Amino acid sequence: MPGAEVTFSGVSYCYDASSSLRKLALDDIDLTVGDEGFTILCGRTGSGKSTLAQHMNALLTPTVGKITFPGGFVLDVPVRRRKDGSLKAPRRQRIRCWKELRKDVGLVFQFPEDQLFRRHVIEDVMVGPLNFGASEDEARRAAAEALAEVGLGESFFERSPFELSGGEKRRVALAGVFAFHPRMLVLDEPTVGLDPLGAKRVVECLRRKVASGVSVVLITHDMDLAYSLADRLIVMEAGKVVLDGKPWEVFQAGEIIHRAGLLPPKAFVYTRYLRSLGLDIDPAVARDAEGLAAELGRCIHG
Amino acid sequence: MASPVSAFGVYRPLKTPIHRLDGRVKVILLIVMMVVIFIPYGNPAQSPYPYATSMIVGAGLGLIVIGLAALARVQPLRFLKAVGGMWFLLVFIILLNVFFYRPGENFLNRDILFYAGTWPVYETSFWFAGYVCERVILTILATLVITSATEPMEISYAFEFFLSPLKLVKVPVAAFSMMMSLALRFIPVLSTQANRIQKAQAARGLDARNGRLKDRFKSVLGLIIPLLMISIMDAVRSAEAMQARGYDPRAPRTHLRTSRFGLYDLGWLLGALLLLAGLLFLCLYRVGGLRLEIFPA
Ligand SMILES: Nc1ncnc2c1ncn2[C@@H]1O[C@H](COP(=O)(O)OP(=O)(O)OP(=O)(O)O)[C@@H](O)[C@H]1O
Ligand SMILES: [Mg+2]
Repeated sequence: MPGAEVTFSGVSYCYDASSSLRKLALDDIDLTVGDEGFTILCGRTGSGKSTLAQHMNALLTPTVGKITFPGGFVLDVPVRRRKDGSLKAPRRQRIRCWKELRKDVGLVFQFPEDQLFRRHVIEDVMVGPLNFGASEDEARRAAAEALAEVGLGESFFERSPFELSGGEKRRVALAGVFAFHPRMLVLDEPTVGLDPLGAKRVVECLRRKVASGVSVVLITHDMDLAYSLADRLIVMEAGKVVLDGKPWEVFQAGEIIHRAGLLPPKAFVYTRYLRSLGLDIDPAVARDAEGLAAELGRCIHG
Repeated sequence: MASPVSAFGVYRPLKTPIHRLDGRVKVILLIVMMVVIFIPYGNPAQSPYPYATSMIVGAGLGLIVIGLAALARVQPLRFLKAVGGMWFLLVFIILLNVFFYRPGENFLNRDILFYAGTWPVYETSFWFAGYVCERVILTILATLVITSATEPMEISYAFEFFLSPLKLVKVPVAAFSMMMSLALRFIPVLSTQANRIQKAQAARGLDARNGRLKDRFKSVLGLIIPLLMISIMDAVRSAEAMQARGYDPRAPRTHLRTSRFGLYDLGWLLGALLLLAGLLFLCLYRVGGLRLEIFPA
């Protein structure tokens, strides 16, 4: 299965463009994501990460700019400006192949409370497969599988999604998207509110997805997680991409990292220190405690 | 994304002649507008053009509403959206009235326009349907103007003020007012929630915006349960948060901002009352037992 890609060129997005309360959330983004396993998106709160994520399956459409989606569908919004130069709301964009698009790119929102809407957990998870053309039986099977993947057993199937705990809701929300097997997953802070083991379980599940060829775009404030997972790390600040590259290289830019409101992860700090002592730690391996320990062992014992 | 609740006016913080008015005056203004929109004018039974007089007065009121909207800087687009959001209701009103409204025996105009099968359809029914639609539209627009220029808090203070005589008979007016302001606070919350749920539906293949009419229908139906659940849970959370911060419904309340009633407000109040008096006169004044009619027989 080929990895899915989304390409942004010159994309800006303005909330409430037609009113005086307008707020520029994305500022001239040029970016291609997908196709390289884990892409991690970081940046301070309000930097535009969630807004960018919602463009990846066209839930939000740009105020201006061009996006190319996995199926080859192109959304090109011409610029419209007011006399004072500010962006004007675009004409309404109709998306013809929205169904294929949403099936290709699965998005899990930041706030799980708002994305569960059926009476029972199992029904809620079946919504995706059913809408994308699965039969009732297939959908039920896919839903049960997806729920098992996130660690929710049959005892949850008939419960109301509204009376679950925050972490359980988040897992149901993840299952709701896993169930229709998108080629690209966009996850907005998927591990927030999960207990450490639950979070680990979700991460393992994502690793399996990546191994099977799915591209994953993950938004997180957890720098250690970002550092350990990222094949590519993108840092946003005030609606712009300010850093983009391999995590080891990105965190070298200490000044920009600091200005973007981030702190370097532990593994990075240790690696940098040990390397400054002359130890030949390989940053590509030393991405978390275990990797670092292994590298340290290798350096000491040869 | 268009949601079924977005037709409600949501407060916009601007500085306009209407925003600056005392909340109590704005509430009175709205009530006056409602009254003059809903009282009958003219004499439908005795006119070849039944309800035309009411509709002409309504058009005048429409100009007033548009004037107020311009003053409050309500965007024309929101105006159109509010009316567009009700097309379903309006179609329903028209169909219902056209087929089931019957002019009384005393009506001058009992012309039958055509038969739907064997069912007679009267000309007067169309006049009446138009009249009802006009009133509904005017009401919605007047409410939109006032609510977009009045903070929910102001509205609840105004009601607390008007109900304050009831304090004498030990009615917990302040608690009512708190309930009301909480309820008002929920309207924009509800509309935001509806948007978010529709987005979540769209992400899983049920798109109300790009999909077919059937999708749109399914999407709106699918909103009912989650919106109810979310509102109830939100209400419980709010109540807990208020208790946690020591809210006591029986304690005397103070207000963060006390508004002062000035000359400017008095002017507007007098204007509103004058409009009310003028139109009440038009409604109640009778010549030979009949209301003034622009198109008499
Ligand atoms: N629905 C909305 N209406 C208006 N402005 C919004 C809306 N959603 C977000 N914004 C604004 O757009 C900017 C970017 O928001 P966004 O949600 O993309 O940030 P984020 O990077 O995801 O932050 P966080 O880490 O807190 O989730 C913020 O300044 C925010 O205030
Ligand atoms: Mg966010």
